[in-house]
Amino acid sequence: MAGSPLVQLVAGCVLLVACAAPDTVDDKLSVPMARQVTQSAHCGLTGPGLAYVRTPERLQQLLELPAQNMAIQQLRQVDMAKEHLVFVTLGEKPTGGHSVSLASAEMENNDNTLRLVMAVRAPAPGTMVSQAITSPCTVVAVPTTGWLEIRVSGVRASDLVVKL
Amino acid sequence: MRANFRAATLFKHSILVGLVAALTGCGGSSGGNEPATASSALSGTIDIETGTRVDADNADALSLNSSPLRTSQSLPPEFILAGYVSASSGIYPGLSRYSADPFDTFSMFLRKGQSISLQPFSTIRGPSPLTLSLLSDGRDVATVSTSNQSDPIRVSLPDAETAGTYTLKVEATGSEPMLYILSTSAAGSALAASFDWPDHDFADAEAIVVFRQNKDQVSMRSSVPQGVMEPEMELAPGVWLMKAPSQTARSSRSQTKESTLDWIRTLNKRPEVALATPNYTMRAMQTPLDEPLYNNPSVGQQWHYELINAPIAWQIINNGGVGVTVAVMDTGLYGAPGNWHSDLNANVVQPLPAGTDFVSEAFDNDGVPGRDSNPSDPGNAVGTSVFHGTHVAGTIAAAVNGAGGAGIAYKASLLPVRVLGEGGTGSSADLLAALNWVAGLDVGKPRADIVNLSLGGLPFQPQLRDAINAGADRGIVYVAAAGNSASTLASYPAAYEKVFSVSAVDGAGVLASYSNSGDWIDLAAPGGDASRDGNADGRSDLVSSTSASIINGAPKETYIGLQGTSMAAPHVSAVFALMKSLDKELDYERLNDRLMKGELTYRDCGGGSCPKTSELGWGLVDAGKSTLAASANSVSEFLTASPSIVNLSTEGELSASISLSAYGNNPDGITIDSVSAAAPWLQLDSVPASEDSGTDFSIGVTLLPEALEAGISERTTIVVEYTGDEFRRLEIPVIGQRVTDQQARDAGRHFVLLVDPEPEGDLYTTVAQTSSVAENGQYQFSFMPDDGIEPKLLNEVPPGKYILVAGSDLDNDGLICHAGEACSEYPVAGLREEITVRLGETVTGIRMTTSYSRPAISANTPDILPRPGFRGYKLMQQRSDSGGTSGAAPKTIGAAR
Repeated sequence: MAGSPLVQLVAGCVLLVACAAPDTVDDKLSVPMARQVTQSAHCGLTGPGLAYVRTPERLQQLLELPAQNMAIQQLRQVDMAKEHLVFVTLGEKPTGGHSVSLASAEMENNDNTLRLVMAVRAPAPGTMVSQAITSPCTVVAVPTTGWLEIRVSGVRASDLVVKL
Repeated sequence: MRANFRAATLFKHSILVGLVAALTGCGGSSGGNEPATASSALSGTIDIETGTRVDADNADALSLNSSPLRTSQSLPPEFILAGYVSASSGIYPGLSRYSADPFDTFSMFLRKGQSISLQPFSTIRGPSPLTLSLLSDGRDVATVSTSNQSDPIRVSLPDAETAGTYTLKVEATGSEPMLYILSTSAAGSALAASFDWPDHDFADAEAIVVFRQNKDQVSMRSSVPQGVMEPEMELAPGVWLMKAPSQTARSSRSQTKESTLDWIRTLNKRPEVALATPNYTMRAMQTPLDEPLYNNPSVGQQWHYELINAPIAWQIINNGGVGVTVAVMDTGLYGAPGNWHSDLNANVVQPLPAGTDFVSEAFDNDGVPGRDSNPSDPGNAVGTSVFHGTHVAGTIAAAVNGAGGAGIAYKASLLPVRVLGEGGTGSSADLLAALNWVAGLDVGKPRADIVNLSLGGLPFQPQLRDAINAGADRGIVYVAAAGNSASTLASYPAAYEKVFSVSAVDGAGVLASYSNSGDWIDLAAPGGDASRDGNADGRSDLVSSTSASIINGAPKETYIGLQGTSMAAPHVSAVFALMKSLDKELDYERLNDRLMKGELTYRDCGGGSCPKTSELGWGLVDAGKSTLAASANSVSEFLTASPSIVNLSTEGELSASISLSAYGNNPDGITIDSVSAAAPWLQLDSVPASEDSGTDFSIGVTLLPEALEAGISERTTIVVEYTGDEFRRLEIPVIGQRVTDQQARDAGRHFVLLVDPEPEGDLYTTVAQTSSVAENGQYQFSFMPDDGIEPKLLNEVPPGKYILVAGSDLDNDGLICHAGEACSEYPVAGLREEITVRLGETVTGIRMTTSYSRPAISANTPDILPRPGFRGYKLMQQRSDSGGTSGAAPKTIGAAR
């Protein structure tokens, strides 16, 4: 990977690039460029989207939400000097049976983009499900440097993008 | 005026809008008079939550004018204030500036022992320490500093200090700008603190006496003078249960209590007595009111029990539902057979019958694929679970054991039946097998009295209906969650005829935003709503109960708040369990008959007969009324009050009429002995006369606000003593509040934005923007239709779908709604709904409420937390080089950082 200067991108840079079809799933998941730290059905995050966490303080804010049940210890063990955290959340779901997890991580765009492909599960129609509101999410740890942007696909119709 | 606005545009934002409003004659400056006119596209009003104040020299205000305040701002006795301090001025990443404002001072009256808390919030420049000091005439009374963290700090008026006017000083002791929220104890906690139900929980004419020397029975009888006390039982060496001489008995019950206490006081003066105490009955310790969780601010008090009058039910039926078995068909329980969650273990059927885990292999995750006899909930194989079945079971029958919380039927038996596996999903075949099993067709008798089904999502299936009908014919009562799809589509099993279908309400008894509704709803119960604080206790309305969490890598038992119709159904199951403990014959038909007569629910329809509604069915379950209805089969005669809790406020009702109704076999025999209320702020306008008898009485009361301290809630009780089959007393809680701050509420200048519903990255695109300052405790706002003429003004909105949000920018960083700033979302914070702006149409009368609190409130502090993945809504910037009225607004500010 080329040295990656932190580029401050300016307003208006909304990229609506069509999703790269994830049919070329990276089968080298062992490459430690991104790893799922934990996932939970109750993250307490009410909106679908993602949060990029660089500091323990920010992490702490995310861990103090009501209606939350996460493996806090695993998240606190992440060394934020080496890895940042990407919270990918589905937002509030009306029942149990919903989940999101990391399916694959791959480099794109001359290694400038880290793509995280998410696997989203929802109960099939007609499945019996618990009737408590859930807020599923997954937390992925990524090295702090090495790319200009992170694109998360599979959660919404268009990619969720973090510019670094 | 124009010159003023020009000055503002040097910095940013939509000041232009106010000017446009003025030019078009739509009201005065930003946020003035009723702005709705034919030329407006969208207009409305933003209310401000009680007690809200703002630091007058916040960075947004400083960007508009002048220098920091030199004087102290006055604060009311209860408040929540957001503020800004910074040791120096500077520029944020981006272009926004922040001003120097090294400290803020506030002046307020502090009561003895009162404390003030401060929650620090970093700006985008990162954390920096703050110091909070309490000063009296320049003398430092108490000082505490933050430690660069986000933890709240607190100063209290030391015991040695007297109540009076003190100065609070918030100082930036680091180099970076900081936001903070300063508040008296969390909104509503004063109310909660005085929410102690009076209990008369000691035995009449009895005392436990510790003697100075060991007294055996013989020596004691000789040494204790006759007529002082009579030994009843030796409890321990030298410790005796004593009876009072018979002449201390009095005619009225309260006199008996008082005379018992008088007698104990005289005992304590006797030379041979080391200590005499009342013989406290265990009854008061045996209701969930006394459990730590009941008023635990860190988890959230169990408001949902108050809402359904459970405390009254526990007085009427004090057996906790003993002898009634409730099958919880769910995800199983946390723990293992014989060692369940410690708050449930005592009530779980022991030993469990064989075959209680019905989860088939496709959904199973408990390590033993397929059906077995262990209904333990293993949690989710992937990701953290909340132990759904454990939570549901806790609401029904967590034990009263001095730890955690308790269920409504706290002595009922729990039969865990596992039908939901991984992630809370399962199959109708497994449910069918479980339903047939619980009906007990194979063993000749039902395996449970009540079946709670906090599950749904199934289509109609005749086999399930038949299994339920078979069980109902054998006396089983089925209760099910109506579902969380905010839909009217019938959801099964709730919608089967012989299942009580339960919709969910929030803390105000209003249908929860997610709850299903429809003509198939039978009744409602608290399910919570994380996005609301309907009961205004300063916390989001979650239902607290037993659960487990991953702590240090392993699941440990705990208590958490959840929301859903899953949480509502067990309230009803538990109330039915209390009822069935008195009347085993209560089956579906009998319960439904009483439900339709209004005997089981709280409904207020002006005295007339209440129709069934699609939202709440026959109404919100009322545990007090329900248990009274069940106990009417016995000889008891009770008086019950409606409403059961009276709220009087200068902002709400000043007077109330309370209806008293008699229940029992012979309610005509109820005779009123006395009606009294001790608080000086409550006037009894009309009361039934002493010796009145009958079945219906009424009491009229009026709040005397001048006798109340402004801004503070007080609580008292109206005591009705009456005689039916025996002497009884009814205590009606009354809460009074003199609200004085409505006009003074201010959350800082508000920016009102219409944003694109689809976020780009972690920011929403702002399409139109206006601003407003608080007048008379409200903000008025108005957007204009986009006339297509370039340049587009900031407050012009083209037709389309938008999310409407508003908030303050106290740190002047160009983002609103992040932690430490006020935020409002339409219709309620946390539950944004799209608003459609159509060509040529005007939307008026939009109503929102702004607050520093978020749906994400945690702990007992008004802890404002951001929406993760969300840094605030970006304000559209006014170009600094633009002319006053012609600034071209950027149309998209999406992925800006």
